[in-house]
Amino acid sequence: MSLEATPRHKAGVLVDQLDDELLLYHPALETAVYLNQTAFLVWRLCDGQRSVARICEVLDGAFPGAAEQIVADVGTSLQTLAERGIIEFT
Amino acid sequence: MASRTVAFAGSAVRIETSGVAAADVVDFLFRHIPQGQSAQPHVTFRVAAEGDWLALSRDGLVLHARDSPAAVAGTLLNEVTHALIDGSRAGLVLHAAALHTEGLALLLPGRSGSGKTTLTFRLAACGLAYLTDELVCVPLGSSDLEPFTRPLVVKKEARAFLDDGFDSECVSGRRLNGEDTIMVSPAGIRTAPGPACRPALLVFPRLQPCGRVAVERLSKAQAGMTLMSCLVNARNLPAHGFGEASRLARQVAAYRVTCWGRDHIDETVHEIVALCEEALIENAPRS
Repeated sequence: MSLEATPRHKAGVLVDQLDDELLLYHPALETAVYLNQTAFLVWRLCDGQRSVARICEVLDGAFPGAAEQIVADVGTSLQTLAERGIIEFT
Repeated sequence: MASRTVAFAGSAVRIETSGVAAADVVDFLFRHIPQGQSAQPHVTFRVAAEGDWLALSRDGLVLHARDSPAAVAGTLLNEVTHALIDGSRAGLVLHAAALHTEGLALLLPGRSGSGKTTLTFRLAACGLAYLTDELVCVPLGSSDLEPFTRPLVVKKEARAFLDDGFDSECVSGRRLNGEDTIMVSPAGIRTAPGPACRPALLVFPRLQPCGRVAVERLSKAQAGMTLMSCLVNARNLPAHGFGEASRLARQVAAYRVTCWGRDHIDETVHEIVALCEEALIENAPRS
């Protein structure tokens, strides 16, 4: 995954927030996904404007001192969300 | 020829019978399904006794004919279940076992092989009342529960987990012994008809053959995701039932109980009973 790729939410995915987590459902794929707090935050930043690199910068600002781990975690989260049809890259 | 309408979750099928043996099989399978629901049947099954044989057909097409009531009963039960699911639009139909106590229902959603039936049988022996080992409907916008109260179907490999003399080959009126399964009528286990009950506890069983029993509280989002995987009529519902599943996950405490091999079943059942007691306290009317 390129750090310059720009993720965005896929159309048609149903979303519901339950407490501080997110439940999503893709009707065409008939799959449900739940996002914990951290994954929820990453998902929220996928607005079609921010690149992967920019998402990592935002999270580094919120959680300073963990830049390498953030890049790894964000990459994993985005890959998983893409595989499950929740996001796409422009 | 006699006929019976079997209805569940807003869906209905008609079953016609010809001969005493055929009527006995149909009565054994469906006598605990409430009659009088308003749904119109969308398919007709016919069970005909012909000598020692029973022949099962659906809308005129022969499905199964054998000299084994248990075998034909098994096929009929599966066919009726699938037909009811196909036509169900009244609520979430979950692949789940259910029992109740004091008007509050314990749901055990899970796929085949997750241990629902064995746990259901053992929990009934602990004093919970049997509702179903296979399907429940949570009507849209409602907090009530509609169980599909069928005979409990025990796979033969699960007999080792049960301790109620399943070696008998005799058809007692409460059991039907087949080659691969034993069906136990609800009349043969603890069943207590009562007022409508509402879901108060979700326990998702997960079978692992070794290790310790583990009880994990699920978040609402985790519970919602797992419920969606147990939903069998999603395509019939608005938004595939997503909103209703979220609503149920919001309202009802959920746990995953893992690892209850043969050596740990008593401990597993004990853990679930403890969760039920907590749910009763949590749901007690506030004074």
